[in-house]
Amino acid sequence: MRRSDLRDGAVLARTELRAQARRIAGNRRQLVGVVVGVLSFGLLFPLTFLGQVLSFGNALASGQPPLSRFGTVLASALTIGLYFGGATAINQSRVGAIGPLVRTSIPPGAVVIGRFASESLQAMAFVVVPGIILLGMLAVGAGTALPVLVVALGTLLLLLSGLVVGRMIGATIRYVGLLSRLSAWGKAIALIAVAGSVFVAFQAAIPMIVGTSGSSSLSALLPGSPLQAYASVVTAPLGATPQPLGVAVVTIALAVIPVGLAATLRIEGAFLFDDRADQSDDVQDESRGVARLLAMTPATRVAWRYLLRTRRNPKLVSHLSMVLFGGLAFVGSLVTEPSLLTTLGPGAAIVAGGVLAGATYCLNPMGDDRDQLPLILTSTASTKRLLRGRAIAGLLVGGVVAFGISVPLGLLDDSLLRVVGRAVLTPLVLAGAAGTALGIGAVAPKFQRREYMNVERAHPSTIGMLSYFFGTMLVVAAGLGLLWWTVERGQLLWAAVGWAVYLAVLAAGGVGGYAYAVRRFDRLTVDDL
Amino acid sequence: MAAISTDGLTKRYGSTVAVEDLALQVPTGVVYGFLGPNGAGKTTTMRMLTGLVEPSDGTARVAGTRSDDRRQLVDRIGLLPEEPPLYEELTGREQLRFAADLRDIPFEQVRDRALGLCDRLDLTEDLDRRVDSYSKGMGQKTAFVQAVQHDPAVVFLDEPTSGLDPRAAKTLRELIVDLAAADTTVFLSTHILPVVEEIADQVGVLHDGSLVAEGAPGELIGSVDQTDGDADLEDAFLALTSERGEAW
Repeated sequence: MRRSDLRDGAVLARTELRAQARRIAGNRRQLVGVVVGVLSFGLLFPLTFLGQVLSFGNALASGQPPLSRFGTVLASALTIGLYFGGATAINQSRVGAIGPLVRTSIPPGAVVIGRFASESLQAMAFVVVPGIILLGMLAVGAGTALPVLVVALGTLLLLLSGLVVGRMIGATIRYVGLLSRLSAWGKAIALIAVAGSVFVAFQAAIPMIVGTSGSSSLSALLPGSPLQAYASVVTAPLGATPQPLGVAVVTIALAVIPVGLAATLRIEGAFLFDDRADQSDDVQDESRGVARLLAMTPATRVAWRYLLRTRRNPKLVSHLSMVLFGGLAFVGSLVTEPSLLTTLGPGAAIVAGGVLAGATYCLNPMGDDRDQLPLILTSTASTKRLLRGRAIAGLLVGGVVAFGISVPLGLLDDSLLRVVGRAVLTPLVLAGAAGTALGIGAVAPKFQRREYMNVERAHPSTIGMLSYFFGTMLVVAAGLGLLWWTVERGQLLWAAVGWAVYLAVLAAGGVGGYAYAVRRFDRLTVDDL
Repeated sequence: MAAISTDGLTKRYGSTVAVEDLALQVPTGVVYGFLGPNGAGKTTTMRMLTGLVEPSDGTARVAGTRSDDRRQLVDRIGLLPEEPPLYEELTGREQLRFAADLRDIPFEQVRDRALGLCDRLDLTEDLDRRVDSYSKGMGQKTAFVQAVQHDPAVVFLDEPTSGLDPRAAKTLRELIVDLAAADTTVFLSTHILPVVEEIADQVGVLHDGSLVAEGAPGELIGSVDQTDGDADLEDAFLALTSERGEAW
């Protein structure tokens, strides 16, 4: 690598960091979010470990460093590094659209270095404040500076190694995705299959690690305790006896930085000038008429277009990956407890359907259509038609999941009465969920594009999405509980009161959310973007 | 009755005045060329006239209705913005049907007109291809058809020939003239002055948010022509917009 590459990379990193800082400073909501995040995570998080850190500092200064505890700290640092390295490689977030300028102005190596530095610094910014505070607390516990220096250097090395290796793995995954000739849905399904397999395998491995005693052991997760051995080398100045394995781990940690960087430079450098990502195999000559079932009204025809677009481009629903992770957690639980499939499965399917009914198309209705707003706002007297179309499309997606899984599973091992009860409850909760999601999308619309799961678009608000997910889970669970109580206890009067309240809540969320969204978006102007 | 009339139309963004005290009277069935340097306020004006942006002051009426009355306005206007508002995942034909559905118009009602326009623009063969495989010009043609397929009373076109090859640009100019001949008012914003000179009945020149000249192209040219009749609209435009520019 040439010196000029480093210099150009530094210029690029500095410019991107400055642009990002100005973007945050120029957006009050984002600025408040960052400040609250830094304060809550940066200050509160370290304070929750005050006792342990003071005692750890004290133990480090005692002449017999606690290698096991230090190993846990190092494992955390390594995990953070791997995660941020991988995430920044896969989610290549950039400010502005200066890619072509950058690629034609400075060498590929400089571009990769600049991007790596700027993205890593942005990602790690949240770790800096808690890290400094934790080190300060450690200094108080130790009463001397040397343990702080040792811990800082030892942790930083593993953090950097993790960052570089994570970046290399992330870049490889990204590049393999680019080279594969799979369709967009094929790639999405492959990614889900890989993530699901890893997750389920991990869930399956937990009982073997924990054993029957129920107490987990970190050393069981880390055969040969390499991180403890690494800790013995790092804390040698504090009195620990260095282990040979530790020397090997330190050597590897030092070596992977240049090796990983070189590999990342090659992979990402090649990626910069590979235009295969632009050559989609999915683009085929075809015009599809509206399915007969959805040809009835303009709103249903609009719904069909959203479904068709999603069929052709799964990136439109990339924000649903959060739901996917929740689903994987349930699938993982099935590995250890298969009976959950018939006991909790039907209810879980309705929860998933409820979440999908609103989350698929309703959580950011206008932001999602931001590039088409000049057409929409000058074509429709009211946004009602569009919002209804989105809700109908979401209800169809959620309905397929809820009915398609819940009814067959219920018929396997449940009373017919409960199956019918759930089938009656399902459309009500789905409709309430879709309307509520539209309301949330109107309260917190997002018009700015950002990168998430390697997809750059106006994703729904994260807070709105989380509120909706957990709120829907809670409301659907309450409905299922009420259904169980009604069927099992048979106290009709109280059941009627319960259902009246429950349906009122659903209607308030659903109808209220929809009405608010219509009112808000009918007044939307380009100035609001 | 004027197809477009504004009175004291003003738009401010904080302390920045984008458009100031604009008074326009555009008769029905004409092509009105709306000119101005970059940042003069043309797009903001167009957005106010189409209800996409609320004016800070003043009023505007388009096709007999207030521009802030979106419910009434949408049936009477068509808009081709600078960036064609198309869904990449749809084919051209699906996009045109979608636009009709948004207006609650059965596509069958506008099919002949839409397909006729596509035919003239040499777009028919590509209608069943997805928009993400289109060139810029093809996207522009699709967005043009989308803007006029419902036969609006007033059409707003922002740089309609952008990205079009010479043949398609010529066809589009002819289509614009045909629209005006059929009593549709065309509000045309472009930087391509020969196009305006060729097809516009009236021209307005906006500079720093204010209307600095208005009239038929020949009148504007005559007002600045100090040569022997060799001047064209470009000379007029440069003269009209340079005086204020030099004051900077």
